[in-house]
Amino acid sequence: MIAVLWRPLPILALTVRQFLGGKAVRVVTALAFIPCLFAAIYLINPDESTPRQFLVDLFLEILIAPTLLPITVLILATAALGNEVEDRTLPYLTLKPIGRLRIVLEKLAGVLLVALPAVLAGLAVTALIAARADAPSSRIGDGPLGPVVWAMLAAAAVGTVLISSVFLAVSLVVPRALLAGIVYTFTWESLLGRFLPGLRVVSIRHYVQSVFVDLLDDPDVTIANATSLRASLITVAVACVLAVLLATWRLRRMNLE
Amino acid sequence: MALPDFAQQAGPTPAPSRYGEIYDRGYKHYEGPRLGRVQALWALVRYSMKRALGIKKGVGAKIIPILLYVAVVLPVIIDVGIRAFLPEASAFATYDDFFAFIFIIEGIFVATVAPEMLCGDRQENVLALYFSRAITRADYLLAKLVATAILTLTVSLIPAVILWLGRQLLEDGPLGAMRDNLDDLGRILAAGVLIASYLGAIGLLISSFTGRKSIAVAIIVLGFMIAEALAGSLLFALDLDNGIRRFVVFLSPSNTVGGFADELFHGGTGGPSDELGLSAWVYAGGMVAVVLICGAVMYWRYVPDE
Repeated sequence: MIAVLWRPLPILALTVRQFLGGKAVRVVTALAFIPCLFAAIYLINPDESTPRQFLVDLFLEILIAPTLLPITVLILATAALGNEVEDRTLPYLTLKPIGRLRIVLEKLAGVLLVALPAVLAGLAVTALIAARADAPSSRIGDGPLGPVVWAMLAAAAVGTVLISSVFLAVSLVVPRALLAGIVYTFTWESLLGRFLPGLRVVSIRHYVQSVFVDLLDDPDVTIANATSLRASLITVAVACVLAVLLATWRLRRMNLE
Repeated sequence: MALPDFAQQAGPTPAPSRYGEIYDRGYKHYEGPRLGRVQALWALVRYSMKRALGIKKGVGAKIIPILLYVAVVLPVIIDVGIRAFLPEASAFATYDDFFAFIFIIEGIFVATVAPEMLCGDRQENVLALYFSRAITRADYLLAKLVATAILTLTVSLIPAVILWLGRQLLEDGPLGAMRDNLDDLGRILAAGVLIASYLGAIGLLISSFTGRKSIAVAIIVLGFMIAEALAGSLLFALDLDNGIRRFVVFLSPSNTVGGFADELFHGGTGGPSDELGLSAWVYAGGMVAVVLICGAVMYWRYVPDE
Protein backbone atom coordinates (compact mmCIF):
# COMPACT_ATOMS: atom_id res chain seq x y z
CA MET A 1 0.00 0.00 0.00
CA ILE A 2 2.87 2.33 0.86
CA ALA A 3 4.46 1.60 -2.54
CA VAL A 4 1.24 2.77 -4.25
CA LEU A 5 1.45 6.06 -2.36
CA TRP A 6 5.13 6.59 -3.11
CA ARG A 7 4.78 8.31 -6.51
CA PRO A 8 1.76 10.60 -5.91
CA LEU A 9 2.43 11.31 -2.20
CA PRO A 10 6.12 10.71 -1.45
CA ILE A 11 6.27 12.56 1.89
CA LEU A 12 3.17 10.75 3.13
CA ALA A 13 4.63 7.38 2.12
CA LEU A 14 7.96 8.30 3.75
CA THR A 15 6.27 9.36 6.99
CA VAL A 16 4.17 6.20 7.23
CA ARG A 17 7.26 4.10 6.48
CA GLN A 18 9.22 5.93 9.19
CA PHE A 19 6.47 5.34 11.74
CA LEU A 20 5.95 1.68 10.84
CA GLY A 21 9.69 1.03 10.94
CA GLY A 22 10.23 2.64 14.34
CA LYS A 23 9.05 1.98 17.86
CA ALA A 24 6.61 4.88 17.95
CA VAL A 25 3.82 2.97 16.23
CA ARG A 26 4.19 0.08 18.66
CA VAL A 27 4.04 2.45 21.63
CA VAL A 28 1.01 4.22 20.17
CA THR A 29 -0.80 0.95 19.45
CA ALA A 30 -0.08 -0.31 22.97
CA LEU A 31 -1.37 2.95 24.46
CA ALA A 32 -4.46 2.93 22.24
CA PHE A 33 -5.46 -0.50 23.55
CA ILE A 34 -5.00 0.34 27.25
CA PRO A 35 -8.74 1.17 27.64
CA CYS A 36 -9.36 -2.53 26.87
CA LEU A 37 -7.68 -3.36 30.20
CA PHE A 38 -10.13 -1.10 31.98
CA ALA A 39 -13.02 -2.74 30.14
CA ALA A 40 -11.73 -6.17 31.18
CA ILE A 41 -11.53 -5.01 34.81
CA TYR A 42 -15.08 -3.66 34.49
CA LEU A 43 -16.26 -7.15 33.47
CA ILE A 44 -15.10 -8.50 36.84
CA ASN A 45 -17.90 -6.64 38.58
CA PRO A 46 -20.29 -5.12 36.01
CA ASP A 47 -23.11 -4.64 38.55
CA GLU A 48 -21.64 -1.33 39.78
CA SER A 49 -22.63 0.54 36.59
CA THR A 50 -24.07 -0.10 33.13
CA PRO A 51 -21.71 -0.55 30.16
CA ARG A 52 -23.01 2.77 28.81
CA GLN A 53 -22.12 4.62 32.02
CA PHE A 54 -18.75 2.87 32.17
CA LEU A 55 -17.87 3.96 28.61
CA VAL A 56 -19.06 7.53 29.19
CA ASP A 57 -17.00 7.85 32.39
CA LEU A 58 -13.95 6.20 30.80
CA PHE A 59 -14.05 8.53 27.81
CA LEU A 60 -15.11 11.76 29.45
CA GLU A 61 -13.50 11.76 32.90
CA ILE A 62 -11.25 8.85 33.81
CA LEU A 63 -8.84 8.24 31.00
CA ILE A 64 -9.36 8.81 27.31
CA ALA A 65 -10.18 12.48 26.68
CA PRO A 66 -8.17 13.88 29.63
CA THR A 67 -4.95 11.87 29.27
CA LEU A 68 -4.67 8.96 26.91
CA LEU A 69 -5.85 10.49 23.63
CA PRO A 70 -3.62 13.60 23.87
CA ILE A 71 -0.47 11.66 24.81
CA THR A 72 -1.05 8.89 22.25
CA VAL A 73 -1.48 11.34 19.37
CA LEU A 74 1.24 13.69 20.66
CA ILE A 75 3.88 10.99 20.28
CA LEU A 76 3.24 10.73 16.53
CA ALA A 77 2.38 14.39 15.88
CA THR A 78 5.57 15.72 17.45
CA ALA A 79 7.71 13.00 15.85
CA ALA A 80 6.57 13.58 12.24
CA LEU A 81 8.53 16.80 11.72
CA GLY A 82 10.23 17.00 15.14
CA ASN A 83 12.37 13.93 14.47
CA GLU A 84 13.41 15.38 11.08
CA VAL A 85 14.57 18.52 12.90
CA GLU A 86 16.30 16.53 15.65
CA ASP A 87 18.02 14.14 13.23
CA ARG A 88 18.93 17.05 10.88
CA THR A 89 17.18 15.37 7.93
CA LEU A 90 14.71 18.18 7.30
CA PRO A 91 16.95 19.83 4.62
CA TYR A 92 16.69 16.64 2.52
CA LEU A 93 12.91 17.01 2.48
CA THR A 94 12.96 20.68 1.63
CA LEU A 95 15.49 20.09 -1.18
CA LYS A 96 12.87 18.09 -3.06
CA PRO A 97 10.80 20.04 -5.60
CA ILE A 98 7.78 19.89 -3.31
CA GLY A 99 6.04 22.92 -1.82
CA ARG A 100 6.30 23.53 1.93
CA LEU A 101 2.52 23.49 2.33
CA ARG A 102 2.40 20.10 0.64
CA ILE A 103 5.16 18.79 2.92
CA VAL A 104 3.16 19.85 5.98
CA LEU A 105 -0.11 18.44 4.63
CA GLU A 106 1.46 15.11 3.72
CA LYS A 107 3.17 14.88 7.11
CA LEU A 108 -0.18 15.57 8.79
CA ALA A 109 -1.87 12.95 6.60
CA GLY A 110 0.87 10.48 7.56
CA VAL A 111 0.24 11.08 11.26
CA LEU A 112 -3.51 10.64 10.81
CA LEU A 113 -3.08 7.51 8.69
CA VAL A 114 -1.20 5.83 11.56
CA ALA A 115 -2.88 7.41 14.61
CA LEU A 116 -6.55 7.23 13.61
CA PRO A 117 -6.77 3.45 12.97
CA ALA A 118 -4.91 2.70 16.22
CA VAL A 119 -7.03 5.06 18.35
CA LEU A 120 -10.35 4.03 16.80
CA ALA A 121 -9.55 0.32 16.89
CA GLY A 122 -8.61 0.61 20.59
CA LEU A 123 -11.93 2.32 21.37
CA ALA A 124 -13.96 -0.14 19.29
CA VAL A 125 -12.41 -3.17 21.01
CA THR A 126 -12.96 -1.51 24.41
CA ALA A 127 -16.65 -1.02 23.57
CA LEU A 128 -16.94 -4.63 22.40
CA ILE A 129 -15.42 -5.91 25.66
CA ALA A 130 -17.67 -3.67 27.78
CA ALA A 131 -20.70 -4.82 25.74
CA ARG A 132 -20.15 -8.39 26.92
CA ALA A 133 -21.24 -7.37 30.41
CA ASP A 134 -24.98 -7.44 30.01
CA ALA A 135 -26.45 -8.57 26.71
CA PRO A 136 -29.93 -6.89 26.68
CA SER A 137 -28.76 -3.42 27.71
CA SER A 138 -25.50 -3.26 25.84
CA ARG A 139 -26.14 -3.96 22.15
CA ILE A 140 -23.93 -1.96 19.83
CA GLY A 141 -25.52 -0.66 16.63
CA ASP A 142 -29.16 0.23 17.23
CA GLY A 143 -28.91 -0.74 20.90
CA PRO A 144 -28.42 1.65 23.84
CA LEU A 145 -24.66 1.37 23.55
CA GLY A 146 -24.60 2.39 19.88
CA PRO A 147 -24.84 6.20 20.28
CA VAL A 148 -22.12 6.17 22.95
CA VAL A 149 -19.75 4.22 20.74
CA TRP A 150 -20.36 6.41 17.68
CA ALA A 151 -20.02 9.60 19.74
CA MET A 152 -16.82 8.25 21.27
CA LEU A 153 -15.33 7.34 17.88
CA ALA A 154 -16.31 10.69 16.30
CA ALA A 155 -15.02 12.78 19.23
CA ALA A 156 -11.76 10.80 19.29
CA ALA A 157 -11.34 11.34 15.54
CA VAL A 158 -11.92 15.10 15.93
CA GLY A 159 -9.45 15.19 18.82
CA THR A 160 -6.86 13.24 16.85
CA VAL A 161 -7.07 15.66 13.90
CA LEU A 162 -6.85 18.75 16.16
CA ILE A 163 -3.98 17.48 18.33
CA SER A 164 -2.06 16.30 15.26
CA SER A 165 -2.40 19.66 13.48
CA VAL A 166 -1.54 21.81 16.47
CA PHE A 167 1.45 19.82 17.68
CA LEU A 168 2.82 19.26 14.19
CA ALA A 169 3.17 23.05 14.07
CA VAL A 170 4.46 23.25 17.64
CA SER A 171 7.21 20.73 16.83
CA LEU A 172 8.65 23.22 14.34
CA VAL A 173 8.66 26.03 16.88
CA VAL A 174 9.64 24.34 20.18
CA PRO A 175 12.69 22.00 20.30
CA ARG A 176 11.12 19.56 22.79
CA ALA A 177 7.56 19.59 21.52
CA LEU A 178 6.52 16.35 23.22
CA LEU A 179 7.53 17.73 26.61
CA ALA A 180 5.68 20.94 25.80
CA GLY A 181 2.64 18.83 24.91
CA ILE A 182 2.85 16.90 28.18
CA VAL A 183 3.09 20.14 30.14
CA TYR A 184 0.11 21.48 28.15
CA THR A 185 -1.94 18.34 28.84
CA PHE A 186 -1.20 17.97 32.53
CA THR A 187 -0.65 21.55 33.63
CA TRP A 188 -2.70 23.73 31.32
CA GLU A 189 -5.69 21.45 30.74
CA SER A 190 -5.77 19.41 33.94
CA LEU A 191 -4.48 21.73 36.66
CA LEU A 192 -5.12 25.28 35.47
CA GLY A 193 -8.32 24.30 33.63
CA ARG A 194 -9.75 23.16 36.95
CA PHE A 195 -9.27 26.57 38.59
CA LEU A 196 -9.69 28.87 35.57
CA PRO A 197 -12.80 27.79 33.63
CA GLY A 198 -12.15 30.48 31.00
CA LEU A 199 -9.21 28.43 29.72
CA ARG A 200 -11.67 26.07 28.01
CA VAL A 201 -11.67 28.40 25.00
CA VAL A 202 -8.12 27.27 24.25
CA SER A 203 -8.46 23.69 25.51
CA ILE A 204 -8.37 20.79 23.06
CA ARG A 205 -9.91 18.54 25.67
CA HIS A 206 -12.92 20.84 26.04
CA TYR A 207 -13.76 20.62 22.35
CA VAL A 208 -13.34 16.83 22.29
CA GLN A 209 -15.65 16.51 25.30
CA SER A 210 -18.12 18.98 23.77
CA VAL A 211 -18.31 17.01 20.51
CA PHE A 212 -18.87 13.81 22.50
CA VAL A 213 -21.61 15.32 24.67
CA ASP A 214 -23.34 17.01 21.71
CA LEU A 215 -23.33 13.88 19.57
CA LEU A 216 -24.59 11.73 22.44
CA ASP A 217 -27.40 14.23 23.12
CA ASP A 218 -28.19 12.77 26.52
CA PRO A 219 -29.36 15.20 29.25
CA ASP A 220 -27.64 13.01 31.88
CA VAL A 221 -24.25 13.33 30.19
CA THR A 222 -23.01 16.91 30.30
CA ILE A 223 -19.89 18.96 30.92
CA ALA A 224 -19.62 22.47 32.28
CA ASN A 225 -20.17 25.15 29.59
CA ALA A 226 -20.26 22.69 26.70
CA THR A 227 -19.76 24.32 23.30
CA SER A 228 -22.36 23.49 20.63
CA LEU A 229 -21.48 20.92 17.99
CA ARG A 230 -21.39 23.44 15.14
CA ALA A 231 -19.22 25.90 17.11
CA SER A 232 -16.88 23.09 18.18
CA LEU A 233 -16.42 21.80 14.65
CA ILE A 234 -15.86 25.31 13.25
CA THR A 235 -13.30 26.05 15.99
CA VAL A 236 -11.52 22.77 15.35
CA ALA A 237 -11.45 23.40 11.59
CA VAL A 238 -10.13 26.96 12.02
CA ALA A 239 -7.50 25.80 14.52
CA CYS A 240 -6.35 23.05 12.13
CA VAL A 241 -6.08 25.46 9.19
CA LEU A 242 -4.17 28.01 11.30
CA ALA A 243 -1.84 25.31 12.59
CA VAL A 244 -1.09 24.08 9.06
CA LEU A 245 -0.45 27.64 7.87
CA LEU A 246 1.81 28.33 10.88
CA ALA A 247 3.78 25.13 10.20
CA THR A 248 4.15 26.07 6.51
CA TRP A 249 5.31 29.60 7.38
CA ARG A 250 7.75 28.25 9.94
CA LEU A 251 9.09 25.69 7.46
CA ARG A 252 9.73 28.50 4.96
CA ARG A 253 11.44 30.76 7.49
CA MET A 254 13.37 28.44 9.81
CA ASN A 255 17.10 27.96 9.54
CA LEU A 256 17.65 24.47 8.18
CA GLU A 257 21.43 24.45 8.60
CA MET B 1 62.94 0.03 -26.18
CA ALA B 2 65.50 1.41 -23.76
CA LEU B 3 64.28 4.04 -21.39
CA PRO B 4 66.20 7.38 -21.38
CA ASP B 5 68.54 7.68 -18.45
CA PHE B 6 67.01 10.65 -16.65
CA ALA B 7 69.33 10.16 -13.65
CA GLN B 8 72.39 10.82 -15.72
CA GLN B 9 70.80 13.87 -17.37
CA ALA B 10 69.90 15.45 -14.00
CA GLY B 11 73.23 14.75 -12.40
CA PRO B 12 73.88 12.68 -9.30
CA THR B 13 70.73 11.97 -7.27
CA PRO B 14 70.74 12.32 -3.51
CA ALA B 15 70.38 9.23 -1.40
CA PRO B 16 66.70 8.26 -1.21
CA SER B 17 65.12 9.75 1.90
CA ARG B 18 63.10 7.60 4.30
CA TYR B 19 59.50 7.17 3.23
CA GLY B 20 57.86 7.81 6.55
CA GLU B 21 58.36 8.49 10.17
CA ILE B 22 56.45 7.32 13.21
CA TYR B 23 55.33 10.08 15.50
CA ASP B 24 54.59 8.72 18.96
CA ARG B 25 54.16 12.02 20.70
CA GLY B 26 50.34 11.57 20.97
CA TYR B 27 50.44 7.97 22.17
CA LYS B 28 52.18 8.19 25.49
CA HIS B 29 51.41 5.40 27.85
CA TYR B 30 49.37 6.23 30.91
CA GLU B 31 51.66 6.16 33.91
CA GLY B 32 49.26 7.35 36.62
CA PRO B 33 47.59 5.16 39.20
CA ARG B 34 45.10 2.61 37.88
CA LEU B 35 42.03 2.95 40.05
CA GLY B 36 40.12 -0.07 38.82
CA ARG B 37 36.49 -0.92 38.14
CA VAL B 38 35.05 0.62 41.27
CA GLN B 39 36.51 4.00 40.40
CA ALA B 40 35.25 3.68 36.81
CA LEU B 41 31.82 2.90 38.14
CA TRP B 42 31.90 5.85 40.53
CA ALA B 43 33.10 8.14 37.72
CA LEU B 44 30.09 7.05 35.68
CA VAL B 45 27.79 7.72 38.66
CA ARG B 46 29.18 11.27 39.05
CA TYR B 47 29.04 11.97 35.31
CA SER B 48 25.45 10.69 35.07
CA MET B 49 24.34 12.86 38.00
CA LYS B 50 25.95 15.97 36.49
CA ARG B 51 24.35 15.30 33.13
CA ALA B 52 20.90 14.73 34.63
CA LEU B 53 21.08 17.96 36.64
CA GLY B 54 22.16 19.93 33.57
CA ILE B 55 25.59 20.80 35.00
CA LYS B 56 27.91 22.02 32.20
CA LYS B 57 24.83 22.44 29.99
CA GLY B 58 22.78 25.49 29.06
CA VAL B 59 20.44 27.29 31.45
CA GLY B 60 17.41 25.54 29.96
CA ALA B 61 18.61 22.13 31.18
CA LYS B 62 18.90 23.40 34.77
CA ILE B 63 15.49 25.04 35.08
CA ILE B 64 13.35 21.97 35.80
CA PRO B 65 15.72 20.45 38.46
CA ILE B 66 16.02 23.84 40.19
CA LEU B 67 12.23 24.32 40.20
CA LEU B 68 11.71 20.83 41.64
CA TYR B 69 14.30 21.38 44.38
CA VAL B 70 12.65 24.69 45.29
CA ALA B 71 9.23 23.00 45.29
CA VAL B 72 10.39 20.36 47.76
CA VAL B 73 12.60 22.44 50.07
CA LEU B 74 10.37 25.50 50.38
CA PRO B 75 7.51 23.72 52.23
CA VAL B 76 10.04 22.25 54.69
CA ILE B 77 11.50 25.67 55.44
CA ILE B 78 7.99 27.09 55.79
CA ASP B 79 7.05 24.23 58.14
CA VAL B 80 10.07 24.78 60.38
CA GLY B 81 9.51 28.56 60.26
CA ILE B 82 5.85 28.24 61.25
CA ARG B 83 6.76 25.92 64.12
CA ALA B 84 9.36 28.40 65.37
CA PHE B 85 6.63 30.98 65.93
CA LEU B 86 3.57 28.78 66.44
CA PRO B 87 4.69 25.48 68.03
CA GLU B 88 1.25 23.87 67.63
CA ALA B 89 0.93 24.65 63.93
CA SER B 90 2.59 22.58 61.23
CA ALA B 91 2.35 22.01 57.49
CA PHE B 92 3.11 18.28 57.94
CA ALA B 93 1.58 16.60 60.96
CA THR B 94 3.84 13.56 60.63
CA TYR B 95 6.77 12.43 58.50
CA ASP B 96 4.57 10.14 56.40
CA ASP B 97 2.51 13.24 55.47
CA PHE B 98 5.73 14.71 54.14
CA PHE B 99 6.56 11.61 52.08
CA ALA B 100 3.00 11.56 50.69
CA PHE B 101 3.32 15.28 49.84
CA ILE B 102 6.60 14.92 47.96
CA PHE B 103 5.53 11.82 46.01
CA ILE B 104 4.29 13.81 42.99
CA ILE B 105 7.40 16.02 42.96
CA GLU B 106 9.59 12.94 43.32
CA GLY B 107 7.70 11.26 40.47
CA ILE B 108 8.17 14.28 38.17
CA PHE B 109 11.83 14.44 39.21
CA VAL B 110 12.35 10.77 38.28
CA ALA B 111 10.47 11.32 34.99
CA THR B 112 12.92 14.09 34.05
CA VAL B 113 16.11 12.49 35.43
CA ALA B 114 15.79 8.81 34.42
CA PRO B 115 15.59 9.42 30.64
CA GLU B 116 18.70 11.63 30.90
CA MET B 117 20.54 8.65 32.41
CA LEU B 118 19.94 6.11 29.65
CA CYS B 119 18.36 7.61 26.52
CA GLY B 120 21.26 9.86 25.49
CA ASP B 121 23.76 6.98 25.47
CA ARG B 122 21.44 4.84 23.36
CA GLN B 123 20.59 7.60 20.92
CA GLU B 124 24.21 8.66 20.44
CA ASN B 125 25.36 5.02 20.10
CA VAL B 126 28.11 5.33 22.72
CA LEU B 127 27.29 2.15 24.65
CA ALA B 128 30.02 0.27 22.76
CA LEU B 129 32.53 2.84 24.01
CA TYR B 130 31.43 2.35 27.61
CA PHE B 131 31.63 -1.42 27.36
CA SER B 132 35.09 -1.31 25.78
CA ARG B 133 36.37 0.16 29.07
CA ALA B 134 36.71 -1.38 32.50
CA ILE B 135 32.99 -1.46 33.27
CA THR B 136 30.63 -4.30 32.42
CA ARG B 137 27.01 -4.01 31.40
CA ALA B 138 25.92 -4.83 34.95
CA ASP B 139 28.27 -2.10 36.25
CA TYR B 140 26.77 0.36 33.78
CA LEU B 141 23.23 -0.38 34.94
CA LEU B 142 24.27 -0.34 38.59
CA ALA B 143 25.95 3.05 38.12
CA LYS B 144 22.83 4.46 36.46
CA LEU B 145 20.58 3.06 39.20
CA VAL B 146 22.87 4.43 41.93
CA ALA B 147 23.03 7.84 40.21
CA THR B 148 19.23 7.96 39.86
CA ALA B 149 18.73 6.83 43.46
CA ILE B 150 21.23 9.38 44.83
CA LEU B 151 19.58 12.21 42.89
CA THR B 152 16.12 11.08 43.98
CA LEU B 153 17.41 10.90 47.56
CA THR B 154 18.38 14.56 47.34
CA VAL B 155 14.71 15.28 46.70
CA SER B 156 13.24 12.95 49.32
CA LEU B 157 15.80 12.30 52.03
CA ILE B 158 17.62 15.61 52.44
CA PRO B 159 14.44 17.69 52.90
CA ALA B 160 13.11 15.05 55.32
CA VAL B 161 16.35 15.17 57.34
CA ILE B 162 16.18 18.99 57.34
CA LEU B 163 12.61 18.70 58.61
CA TRP B 164 13.70 16.30 61.36
CA LEU B 165 16.69 18.46 62.29
CA GLY B 166 14.61 21.64 62.31
CA ARG B 167 12.05 20.07 64.62
CA GLN B 168 14.71 18.90 67.07
CA LEU B 169 16.44 22.29 67.09
CA LEU B 170 13.15 23.94 68.01
CA GLU B 171 12.89 21.81 71.16
CA ASP B 172 14.11 23.19 74.50
CA GLY B 173 16.87 20.59 74.72
CA PRO B 174 17.94 19.91 71.12
CA LEU B 175 20.51 17.21 71.92
CA GLY B 176 18.13 15.32 74.15
CA ALA B 177 15.37 15.63 71.54
CA MET B 178 17.72 14.30 68.87
CA ARG B 179 18.61 11.33 71.07
CA ASP B 180 14.95 10.65 71.83
CA ASN B 181 13.86 10.87 68.18
CA LEU B 182 16.76 8.98 66.66
CA ASP B 183 14.37 6.17 65.69
CA ASP B 184 12.45 8.67 63.53
CA LEU B 185 15.68 9.53 61.74
CA GLY B 186 16.29 5.82 61.08
CA ARG B 187 12.80 5.47 59.65
CA ILE B 188 13.32 8.57 57.49
CA LEU B 189 16.56 7.07 56.13
CA ALA B 190 14.89 3.73 55.41
CA ALA B 191 11.88 5.36 53.73
CA GLY B 192 14.00 7.79 51.72
CA VAL B 193 16.38 5.13 50.38
CA LEU B 194 13.68 2.61 49.55
CA ILE B 195 11.31 5.09 47.89
CA ALA B 196 14.16 6.63 45.86
CA SER B 197 15.35 3.21 44.65
CA TYR B 198 11.79 2.09 43.88
CA LEU B 199 10.82 5.13 41.82
CA GLY B 200 14.26 5.35 40.21
CA ALA B 201 14.17 1.71 39.09
CA ILE B 202 10.72 2.14 37.50
CA GLY B 203 11.86 5.29 35.67
CA LEU B 204 15.05 3.64 34.43
CA LEU B 205 13.21 0.53 33.27
CA ILE B 206 10.89 2.59 31.08
CA SER B 207 13.79 4.71 29.80
CA SER B 208 15.76 1.60 28.82
CA PHE B 209 13.19 0.84 26.11
CA THR B 210 13.64 4.02 24.08
CA GLY B 211 16.38 6.30 22.84
CA ARG B 212 14.11 9.36 22.75
CA LYS B 213 14.07 11.26 26.05
CA SER B 214 10.75 12.96 25.42
CA ILE B 215 9.02 9.65 24.68
CA ALA B 216 10.49 8.20 27.88
CA VAL B 217 9.19 11.17 29.90
CA ALA B 218 5.74 10.78 28.32
CA ILE B 219 5.60 7.05 29.03
CA ILE B 220 6.81 7.45 32.64
CA VAL B 221 4.21 10.13 33.41
CA LEU B 222 1.46 8.25 31.58
CA GLY B 223 2.59 4.95 33.13
CA PHE B 224 2.23 6.33 36.65
CA MET B 225 -1.21 7.74 35.85
CA ILE B 226 -2.47 4.56 34.16
CA ALA B 227 -1.15 2.42 37.02
CA GLU B 228 -3.04 4.59 39.52
CA ALA B 229 -6.24 4.41 37.45
CA LEU B 230 -5.91 0.62 36.97
CA ALA B 231 -5.38 0.09 40.70
CA GLY B 232 -8.39 2.28 41.45
CA SER B 233 -10.56 0.36 38.97
CA LEU B 234 -9.47 -3.02 40.35
CA LEU B 235 -10.11 -1.94 43.95
CA PHE B 236 -13.58 -0.83 42.84
CA ALA B 237 -14.27 -4.02 40.90
CA LEU B 238 -13.00 -6.63 43.36
CA ASP B 239 -15.13 -7.74 46.30
CA LEU B 240 -14.08 -6.60 49.75
CA ASP B 241 -13.52 -10.21 50.87
CA ASN B 242 -11.32 -11.02 47.85
CA GLY B 243 -7.81 -11.89 49.08
CA ILE B 244 -6.12 -10.45 45.99
CA ARG B 245 -7.65 -7.02 46.70
CA ARG B 246 -5.06 -6.29 49.40
CA PHE B 247 -2.21 -6.72 46.95
CA VAL B 248 -3.73 -4.54 44.20
CA VAL B 249 -2.17 -1.66 46.12
CA PHE B 250 1.20 -2.66 44.59
CA LEU B 251 -0.10 -1.66 41.15
CA SER B 252 -0.25 1.94 42.32
CA PRO B 253 3.11 3.58 43.11
CA SER B 254 1.50 6.37 45.16
CA ASN B 255 -0.50 3.94 47.32
CA THR B 256 2.55 1.68 47.76
CA VAL B 257 4.75 4.58 48.87
CA GLY B 258 1.96 6.09 50.98
CA GLY B 259 1.12 2.75 52.61
CA PHE B 260 4.79 2.01 53.36
CA ALA B 261 5.41 5.43 54.94
CA ASP B 262 2.15 5.20 56.84
CA GLU B 263 2.95 1.75 58.28
CA LEU B 264 6.57 2.74 58.99
CA PHE B 265 5.70 5.84 61.01
CA HIS B 266 2.36 4.75 62.48
CA GLY B 267 3.34 1.12 63.04
CA GLY B 268 -0.04 -0.10 61.82
CA THR B 269 -2.12 1.89 64.30
CA GLY B 270 -4.27 4.75 63.18
CA GLY B 271 -2.90 5.11 59.66
CA PRO B 272 -5.07 5.26 56.54
CA SER B 273 -3.56 2.00 55.20
CA ASP B 274 -4.79 -0.02 58.19
CA GLU B 275 -7.78 -1.45 56.30
CA LEU B 276 -5.47 -3.38 53.96
CA GLY B 277 -3.71 -5.05 56.88
CA LEU B 278 -0.27 -5.05 55.25
CA SER B 279 2.76 -4.42 57.43
CA ALA B 280 5.68 -2.12 56.55
CA TRP B 281 7.74 -5.25 55.85
CA VAL B 282 5.25 -6.42 53.21
CA TYR B 283 5.32 -3.00 51.52
CA ALA B 284 9.13 -2.95 51.71
CA GLY B 285 9.28 -6.48 50.27
CA GLY B 286 7.02 -5.43 47.40
CA MET B 287 9.16 -2.38 46.66
CA VAL B 288 12.40 -4.38 46.78
CA ALA B 289 10.81 -6.96 44.45
CA VAL B 290 9.93 -4.18 41.99
CA VAL B 291 13.53 -2.90 42.12
CA LEU B 292 14.88 -6.42 41.48
CA ILE B 293 12.44 -7.08 38.64
CA CYS B 294 13.29 -3.74 37.00
CA GLY B 295 17.01 -4.50 37.39
CA ALA B 296 16.59 -7.96 35.85
CA VAL B 297 14.62 -6.63 32.87
CA MET B 298 17.17 -3.85 32.32
CA TYR B 299 20.00 -6.37 32.47
CA TRP B 300 18.19 -8.49 29.89
CA ARG B 301 17.88 -5.37 27.72
CA TYR B 302 21.61 -4.65 27.90
CA VAL B 303 23.11 -8.16 27.68
CA PRO B 304 24.87 -8.83 24.36
CA ASP B 305 22.91 -10.62 21.65
CA GLU B 306 25.53 -13.29 21.02
